[in-house]
Amino acid sequence: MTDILKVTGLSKVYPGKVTTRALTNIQLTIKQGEFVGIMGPSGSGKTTLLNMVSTIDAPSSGEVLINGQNPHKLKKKELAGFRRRQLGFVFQDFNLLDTLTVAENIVLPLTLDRVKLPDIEARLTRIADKLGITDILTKRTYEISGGQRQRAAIARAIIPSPSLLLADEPTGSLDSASSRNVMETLEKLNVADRVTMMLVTHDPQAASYCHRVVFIKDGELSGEIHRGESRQAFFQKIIEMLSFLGGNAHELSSIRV
Amino acid sequence: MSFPQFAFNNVKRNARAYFAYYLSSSFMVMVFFTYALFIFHPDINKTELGHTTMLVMLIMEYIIYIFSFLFVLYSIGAFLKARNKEFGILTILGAEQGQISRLVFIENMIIGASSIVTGILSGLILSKLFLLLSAKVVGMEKLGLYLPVKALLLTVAAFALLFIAISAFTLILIRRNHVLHLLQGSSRPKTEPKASILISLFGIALLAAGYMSLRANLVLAAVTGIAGTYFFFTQITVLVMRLLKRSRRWVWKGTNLIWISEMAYKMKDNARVLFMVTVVTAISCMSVAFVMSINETNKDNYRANPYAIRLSVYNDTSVKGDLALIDQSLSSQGITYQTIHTEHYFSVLEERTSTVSVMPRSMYNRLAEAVGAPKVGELHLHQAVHVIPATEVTRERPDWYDLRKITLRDTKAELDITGTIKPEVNVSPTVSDMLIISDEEFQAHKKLLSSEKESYRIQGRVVYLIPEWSTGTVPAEGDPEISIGMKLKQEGIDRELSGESDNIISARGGDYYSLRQSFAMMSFAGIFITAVLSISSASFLYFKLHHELTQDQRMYQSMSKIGLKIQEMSRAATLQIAALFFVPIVVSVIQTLVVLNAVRKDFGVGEVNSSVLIASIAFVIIQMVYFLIVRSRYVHKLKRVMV
Repeated sequence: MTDILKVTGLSKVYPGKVTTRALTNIQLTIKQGEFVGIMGPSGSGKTTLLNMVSTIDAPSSGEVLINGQNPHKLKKKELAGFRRRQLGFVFQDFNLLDTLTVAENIVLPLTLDRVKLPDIEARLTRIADKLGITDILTKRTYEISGGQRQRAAIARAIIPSPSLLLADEPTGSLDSASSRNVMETLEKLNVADRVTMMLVTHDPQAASYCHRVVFIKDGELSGEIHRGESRQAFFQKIIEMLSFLGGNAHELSSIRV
Repeated sequence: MSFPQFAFNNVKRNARAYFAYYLSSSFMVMVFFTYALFIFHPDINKTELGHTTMLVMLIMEYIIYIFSFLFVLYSIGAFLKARNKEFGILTILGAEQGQISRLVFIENMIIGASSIVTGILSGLILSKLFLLLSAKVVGMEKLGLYLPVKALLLTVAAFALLFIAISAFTLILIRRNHVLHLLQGSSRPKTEPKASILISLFGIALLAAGYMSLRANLVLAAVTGIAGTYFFFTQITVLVMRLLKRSRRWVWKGTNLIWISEMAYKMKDNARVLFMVTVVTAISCMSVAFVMSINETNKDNYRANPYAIRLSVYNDTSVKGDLALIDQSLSSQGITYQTIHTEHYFSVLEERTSTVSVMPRSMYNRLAEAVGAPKVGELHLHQAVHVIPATEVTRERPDWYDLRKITLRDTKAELDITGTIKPEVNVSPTVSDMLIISDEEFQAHKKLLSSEKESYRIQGRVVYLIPEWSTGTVPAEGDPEISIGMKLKQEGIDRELSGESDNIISARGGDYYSLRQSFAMMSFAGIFITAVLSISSASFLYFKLHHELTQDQRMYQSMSKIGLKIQEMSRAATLQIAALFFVPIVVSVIQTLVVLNAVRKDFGVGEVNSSVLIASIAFVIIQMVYFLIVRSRYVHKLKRVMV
């Protein structure tokens, strides 16, 4: 299987009066069709890692290869286009435009790439159907629930068929039912369409949908656990790992079942 | 820290946020004050045009005041909206509604007071320059500086009232909001702009009614036109945007999706601002174009008139004295001239209500030869040649021009029109349509008329041809044609008043100059007010944009993460700003064209399109400069959040 994401020796230092080492020597490989979770306590460097992978921030040393290509060697002009085609983004606060309908939000990346209209419409119908959001396509973002918004955002992220889907706390502002719904949606996409995903989360429940979870603490990799047969058992393993890493259990989000 | 101190510190430490508001208020005060200074100037009433000028300036002053009022009101509204979160925090901390109201009131008064002081001080400095400049334009020797007590009092009173009224008004605005709404500030999603088809149709009906009533009733036309423009921005533009969005083929392409949907919101949000800017621009554009057209018409009339001086004879006994007077004025300056004595009579046509002057062939040919116009050949009895005036205004074809057979009501003469001439200049000494008939027939008519009523009698004209002055270009100030012409006109009026003569002396140069002078003041006031209002409306738009910046930054940042390129952002933002800046200009140019073309005949103006074109190009250029400045600043700020 090909490597979709290959991170080697990645470090990030924020210079300043007080120099901060955000990440130290991170190694991470995500293969085609894998669903990988990144977990860690607050301030562990999860978001920094995500920013490096999503090309929003440049590493101090080390290398990020997405589909064999190093995006940090691209010019800023080309970078936006690279993100548009190779990466899909799902955010905690959805980042949908209020001024657009759900359908318009979803097709936005395609229109920017000047895809032909019949093609856009065909892809929209297929994806909306798959994510069960067909009947809210003409609605505005403020007329639908949080879970529906996040599914619209997922639709927007995968409509250009990116190599890698990056999800940053996708369940962070959802209630438990919506969270489960969104995670099931992601899992379905992963299984049915073999979408490669990287999920950054606080939420052990959400992380339990992954194939494996990588833990970061204080900017360094500090462990990795794989999912076995049962998601419930995996969830328990994640909880144990977190309390082992964090020590302070209350720092982590509460367990929702 | 006492409460007023808190308010004062708020203003002091938040200076950057208050600065734009303070600056624009000061600017308004300055303009108002400088104008008032001019209106109350003791020397102005002494001039010939003092009264009309005063009236025009007074109207301008009202316009500035209304504009300042709206401007400050909008600035405050936008400003308070941006501070909603702050008010929410204060409320949570336990501030009472009354305390917050007092805070806002005190803050407004601090800014109001300081902008009045700044405005008046800068106005005093500017006034020196302004008085010099205006004196030059009005053509007076010099307007002295004076202690402007009245202007000072008026400005202070007017703006103190304005700030108090607006502060009181804003209290009502903030009182309505709930704490939660305040805390959420402007981050709540905006609902989709709504437009009603019915109201849009009503708006279109108003615009149509305005157009129809243009010639019948100007006030009605202005009211319906302005109301229609209001609905155009609040309803019709939104409706158009929504209709546009129906075409997926066009909207779902490139950055169109972003800017078109954003624009519907921006248009609706700024509808009132855009409406005001349009009305103000349309009024300015109309006045500038109108004054320019009048100047053009004045020049055309001068060029089409081959006779430097003309004596209209109504009483034969005093002709000798009149001629001697003119001769003396010209000879004393060593100017050579040629005179031609002519005779004609006026008659109404039986067929239509038009009036024509009738002249014998030999007399016309003498004039034609002197001014280089085509002559009229041999004419038989009951034959006539029609000579059309050269000047622009009458180029609209009167309805009798196509008739080949006409009857003169006064002499009952039936005439066949055998030919039509349109010379380059006005050969006719009366500047009206002229019929040339044979000398014999004219003599017959003359006999017929001498027994008729007084007003239909034969009239005489003495025209003066002065080759030295007929250069084909309009005279400049100080040329002898103007100085002698003005003097002759005045002497003619004096003779008429003293009963020495019933005849009228008209001088081409004098007529041209006095008309030009009377409009110079209006053009000056018009251009000045236009410049002021155009700067104000541009800063208005900038102010509005500035308040939406944070929101736009957030949006473009998240778009940037999912791969919006910087060029695409710049394109979308540019198109939006361009629409805000140029839609009002385009609308007002269209309105100016429609209005001026409809009313120009009532004001005796020849052609307006070229003046409108020049005026609107000037407006577009000025607006383009503002647009480029605002756009580059705005896009630059957006670029900073792009990842």
